Amino acid sequence: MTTVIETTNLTKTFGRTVALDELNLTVEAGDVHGFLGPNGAGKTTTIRILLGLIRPDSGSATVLGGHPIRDAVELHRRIAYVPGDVELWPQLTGGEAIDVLGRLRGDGDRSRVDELCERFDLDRTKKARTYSKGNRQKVALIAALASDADLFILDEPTSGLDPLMEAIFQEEVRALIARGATVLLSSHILSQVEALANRVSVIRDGAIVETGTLDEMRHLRRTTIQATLERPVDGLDATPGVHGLTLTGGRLTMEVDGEHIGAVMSRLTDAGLTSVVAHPPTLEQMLLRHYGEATTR
Amino acid sequence: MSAPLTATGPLLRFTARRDRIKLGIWVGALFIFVPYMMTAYQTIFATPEDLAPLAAMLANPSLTLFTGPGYGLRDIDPATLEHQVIFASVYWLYMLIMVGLMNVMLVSRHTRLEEQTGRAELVRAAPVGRMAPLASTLILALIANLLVGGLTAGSLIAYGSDATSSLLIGTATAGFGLLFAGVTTVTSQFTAFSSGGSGMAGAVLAAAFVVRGVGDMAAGPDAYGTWISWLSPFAWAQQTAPFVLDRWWPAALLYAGAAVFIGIGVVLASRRDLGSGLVQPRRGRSTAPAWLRSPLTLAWRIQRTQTTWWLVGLALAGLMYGSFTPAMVEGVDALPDLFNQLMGGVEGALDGYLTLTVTMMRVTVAIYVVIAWQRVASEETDGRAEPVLATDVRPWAWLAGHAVVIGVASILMLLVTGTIAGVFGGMIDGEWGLVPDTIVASLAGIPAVLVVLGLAMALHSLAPRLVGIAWIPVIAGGLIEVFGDLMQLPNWARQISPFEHTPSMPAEEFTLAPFLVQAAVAAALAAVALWRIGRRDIPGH
Ligand SMILES: Nc1ncnc2c1ncn2[C@@H]1O[C@H](COP(=O)(O)OP(=O)(O)O)[C@@H](O)[C@H]1O
Ligand SMILES: [Mg+2]
Repeated sequence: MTTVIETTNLTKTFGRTVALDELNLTVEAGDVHGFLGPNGAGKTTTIRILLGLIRPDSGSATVLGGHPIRDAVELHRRIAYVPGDVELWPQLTGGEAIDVLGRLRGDGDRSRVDELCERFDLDRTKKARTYSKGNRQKVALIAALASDADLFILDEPTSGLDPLMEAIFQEEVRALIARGATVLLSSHILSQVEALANRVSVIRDGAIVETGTLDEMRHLRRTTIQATLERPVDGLDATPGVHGLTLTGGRLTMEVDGEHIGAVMSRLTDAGLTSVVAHPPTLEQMLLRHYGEATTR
Repeated sequence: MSAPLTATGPLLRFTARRDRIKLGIWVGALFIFVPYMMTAYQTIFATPEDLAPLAAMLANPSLTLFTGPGYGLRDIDPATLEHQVIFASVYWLYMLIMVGLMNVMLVSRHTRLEEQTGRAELVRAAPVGRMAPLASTLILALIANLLVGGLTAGSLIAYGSDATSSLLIGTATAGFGLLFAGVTTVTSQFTAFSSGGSGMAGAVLAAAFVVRGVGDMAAGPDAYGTWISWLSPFAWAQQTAPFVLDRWWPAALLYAGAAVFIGIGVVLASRRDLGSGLVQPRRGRSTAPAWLRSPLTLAWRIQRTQTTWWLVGLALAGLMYGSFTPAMVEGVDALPDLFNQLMGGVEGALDGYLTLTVTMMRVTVAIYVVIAWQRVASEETDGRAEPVLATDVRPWAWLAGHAVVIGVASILMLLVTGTIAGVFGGMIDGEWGLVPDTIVASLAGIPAVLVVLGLAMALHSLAPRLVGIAWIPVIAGGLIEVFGDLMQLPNWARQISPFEHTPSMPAEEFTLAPFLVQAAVAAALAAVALWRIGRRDIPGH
C-alpha cells in the first residue's frame, strides 16, 4: 500500500485560535478516507494545508509524494478539489464555470461533463448568481468528477444536496475508487461517511482522536444490548465493560465495551437468556463520546 | 519546483473577459476626456487672448492645489499659448486621479475580492501558480494603462499638439496608473477584505493629492514645487512639464515606483496564506450593545464606519475649499465673461466661489448617498437582509431604517460643509453675514440630495441591482453644474440634473417653490419605494 497523504504534527493558529494542534493524518491509496469532525474541528484548515493554499506553523505534510507548496502546480494536476463553501463568478453561467475550471486543469472532457450535468440534473445555462448553495456545489462537484485526478479532496461536498443527489454522488465516488483513485471525504454527516468510507479519522479540536477502519473502531466502541432473562444476575453492573445498566419491566438495557462483549454475553446466557437485541455502535455514539467529553474552547 | 506563474495566460484571458464591460467603460471614459476638453476649450477660449486671463488666474499659487506646479501658466505670451498647455497644467491632474482610481479598483477586485469570496480558492486548487492570479491582474492593468496612455497621447496629437510632449503625457499617465496598481497590490495584503485594501489605496491617492498641492503651494510664485511636492507621485507626473520642459526622468520615477510597490506586494503576498491578511482581524464584542435592537439602529451600525469617514473627508474638503476663497476672489475678475458665468454667473466673485463650493458639496453628498445606498442593495443581494426580514421586521421598516440613517447623515454633511465654507468666506472682509447665508445655501441643497436618495430607494424597490442607475443623474448633474454653461446645453437637457432645480445660492435668491416641489418629489419616490418593497420578492441567496 502506498501512502497518498501523510501529515506529521501539523499545527496552525489564526491569531489566538488554535485551528490545528499536532495533527497526524495518514491516507492510503485506493481508500475512501472519511475525515469526520464537528464544525470548527479543523477539517477545512487541514485540507487547505494539503492543497498548499495556507502554510502550517509547524509540522509537515506530504501529498502524492510531493510538498504541498513547493510542488503545488504538479500536485494540483493530479488533485481535484471541492470546497465546502463554493462561490462562483456571479456573471458566468454554471456551464461556463465548469469549463473554466476544467480548462485550468487542462483535462476538460466534454462528454463526461455532459453526462454528469445530466446525472446531477444541473441547468448549466443559468447565471451562477441565481444558483442555490446546492447548485453551486454541483458545479464544483461536476468540474471535479469530470477530471482524471488521482486524489479527490472533497470538503463536505454534499451538505447542500438532497438525498437523491447524494445517492448519485455516492455512486460516482464508488466509480472513482473502482478506477483506482483515492478520496479524502470530510464531513460532519455520519451517514455519508458510513456509506462510503472504508477508513475514518475523527478530528476534534485540531487533533486526530481516532483513526482506523470502521470495523476496528466498532471494536473499540460500546454495543447497546437489550436482553430479557429468566433469572436475575447479581453484580452485573460491577462487571468490567458494562455501563449504564437499567432494568425496566424485566428488560435489561446496557452498553458494553467491545472487548468485554463475550464475557458479558456468557453471563447473560447462564441466567437463561430469552431474548436479546444488540445494536452496533453508530458513529453518532462514537462522536458523542468524543465530543461529549470535549472541553469548551 | 512549481513555477509560480503557471497558467497566468489563461487566467489573464479569463479575467479580461469577465471585466470587459467595466474596464471598457473606464478606458472609454478616460479616452474621451482629452477630445472633450480640447473641443470645449477651443470653443470657449477661441483666441489666445481669451485664454491668458484664465492662465493668469490658474497660476495663482493658492490655486495650485487644484491645478499643478504651474509650468506653462506663468510669463505667458498670449500669442503662443495653446489649449493643450492648459490641459497639461490643469486638467491632467483630474485625469490622473481617475486613472489612479481605475487601477485601485481593478487590482482590488481581481485579487482581494476574489480571495474574499473564496473564488480564488477554486482557481488556486487547479494547477495554477501561486502568483498567477496577481500576475494576470497586473498584466491586465498594464494593458489598460497603456491603452489609456496611448489614446491620450493619440488624441492630443490629433488636436495638433507636439508629438513628443503628447507621448510624454501618455507615458506618465500610464506610469501613474501602474504605480497605483502597485500601491493597491501592497495595501491589499494587509486585511482580508477588499474594501480595506481599496480604501487604504484610495487614502494614499488622496494623501498624494494633498501633499503635492501643499508642496507646490509652498513654492510660491517663483518656483515650481518644493521637496514636499516630490514626495507625491502626482509630482512625478506633473513635473515632467509637458510642452514646457518635456522632462522624461520624473516619469521614470513612476515606473520605478510601480516596480518597487509591485515587488513589495509580491513579497508580502508570498508570506501570507490565501484568503487571510497580514493583520489578523480583531476580536469584537461577544454580545450586541443594548441600543442595537431595531431596523434603524441596525442600519446605523451597518453604515456607521463608511458614513463617519465620509463626514471627516467632507469636512477636510470644506476646509480646503474654504482656504482658497481669497485667491479665487482675486483671480476670477480677470476672466472672460463665459468663464465668469461658471462661478455662478454673477458679478460678485465671492458669492460665485461660495456658490461653486456649495454646489460641489451638494454633488459630493449625493455621491455619498448613492454609494451608501449601494451598500443597502448589497445587504439584500448578498443575502444579509434575508434573516432580518425573516424576523418580524417589515420590508418597509428595513428600507426606512437605512433611508433615515443616510438622509440624516447627508443633511449633517451639508450643514458641516456649509458652515466651514461660510466661515472662510466671512473671514475675507469681515462680512459675517455670509456665514448664515452659506449655511442656508448649503441646506437649500437638501431636497436635491433627498431626490437622489428617493430615486435610489425607488430603484431598489424595483430590484436591488438597479440601484446603480442612480449614478446617472448624479454624474450627469455634477458635469452639468460644472460644465453646463461651457457646453451651452439647452435648458431641457439641464433639467436632468437634480441640482438645477434649487437655486444656486448664495448667488441666487432663495425661492420656496422649487424647494417644496423637489422635497415633494423626494417624498413621493420614498413613499413609492416603501409601498413597493413589501410587494416584491426578496431574492434568495
Ligand atoms: N482564516 C481564519 N482566521 C481565523 N480563524 C480561522 C480561520 N480559518 C479557520 N479558523 C478557525 O480555525 C478553526 C478550524 O476551522 P475549520 O478548519 O474551518 O473547521 P471545520 O472545517 O472542521 O469546520 C475554527 O475555530 C475556525 O474558526
Ligand atoms: Mg469546514
